[in-house]
Amino acid sequence: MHPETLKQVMKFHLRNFNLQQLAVTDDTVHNAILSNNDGMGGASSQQIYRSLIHWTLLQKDCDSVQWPVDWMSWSVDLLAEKLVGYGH
Amino acid sequence: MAIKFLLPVWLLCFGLTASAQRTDSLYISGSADTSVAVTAPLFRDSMLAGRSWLVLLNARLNVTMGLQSGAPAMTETRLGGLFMKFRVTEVAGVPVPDSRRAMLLVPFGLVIESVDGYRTLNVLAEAGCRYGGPGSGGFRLPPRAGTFLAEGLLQAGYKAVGETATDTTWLPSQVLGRVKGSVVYQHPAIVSITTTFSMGVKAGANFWYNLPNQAFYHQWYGALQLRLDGGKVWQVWYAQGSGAPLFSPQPQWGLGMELSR
Repeated sequence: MHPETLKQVMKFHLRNFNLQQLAVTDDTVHNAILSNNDGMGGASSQQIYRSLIHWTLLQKDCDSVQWPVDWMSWSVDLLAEKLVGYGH
Repeated sequence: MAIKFLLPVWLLCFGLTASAQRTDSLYISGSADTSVAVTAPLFRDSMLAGRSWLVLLNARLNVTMGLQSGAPAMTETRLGGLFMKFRVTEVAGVPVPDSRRAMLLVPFGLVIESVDGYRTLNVLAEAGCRYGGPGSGGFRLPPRAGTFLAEGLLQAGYKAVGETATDTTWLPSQVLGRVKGSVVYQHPAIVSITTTFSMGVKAGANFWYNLPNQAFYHQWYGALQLRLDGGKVWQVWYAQGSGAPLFSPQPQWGLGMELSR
């Protein structure tokens, strides 16, 4: 998968999680919109978002790269490059 | 007597260790009635995926230690998850779960509850249905109005250790059966100073109908949350009732913080 494609997918989901109506761009940092303190029973916006992205990566056989530990502080641009940029 | 104090301490140390290894968040909270609560993940969250569904799997340990007589002391170990069934759409030519539309959300889990140094030990299985919440599509409050989540659960299990209900009417005294309902409202940023520094609120209520003794319990809570740069959350909270398994009606309040991420 091309990083630009993954960026579009990330921004699609971030806009649907976006309670504060922030502008979502390639530079948006994930923790500006997501939290691990909302939701219920271990299903926060952080975990749900990650699983939705992971689902798409699995469909395209692009799930081999481990997510950075501090990915919530990464921008859309950087995280997409990290997850599917190498070897592209 | 020693187990009453050593077991929660061991569980706390285990939780801290587990959290440090997995670099997920660890949440610690102290209350004015001299109890300390720690919530820690026990293993890295996992996921199973299918054509139009996925399952989030996780395990959480929640320890509340009473530091003096009369303060609540209980643990809850939850191995559970959330089944999510969704419609699939396409974004930039690739299949994507449609987070704009309502998803079928089925929470499930195995719960081990203990009270007062394992003098009471309950083992329960639970399953139910959830509506709303972050990223689940469907019903939404107006823009900037926060998020609302409701959940109903059936809990059934067995009291492995401890006193059994003496006034049970129609179930064996060691059988546990509860109907649980929960509602949560959350606004992450009532006041936003920057995109990563904001003040929000969280309020909710839990209700239990205990089948063996046909008793009704409730708990409600509210918290003022401060989100700091980096996503860490501090909160001041108030709760009326301790919730399961103690169902203490006493009010509690305290300060909570996230220690690691």
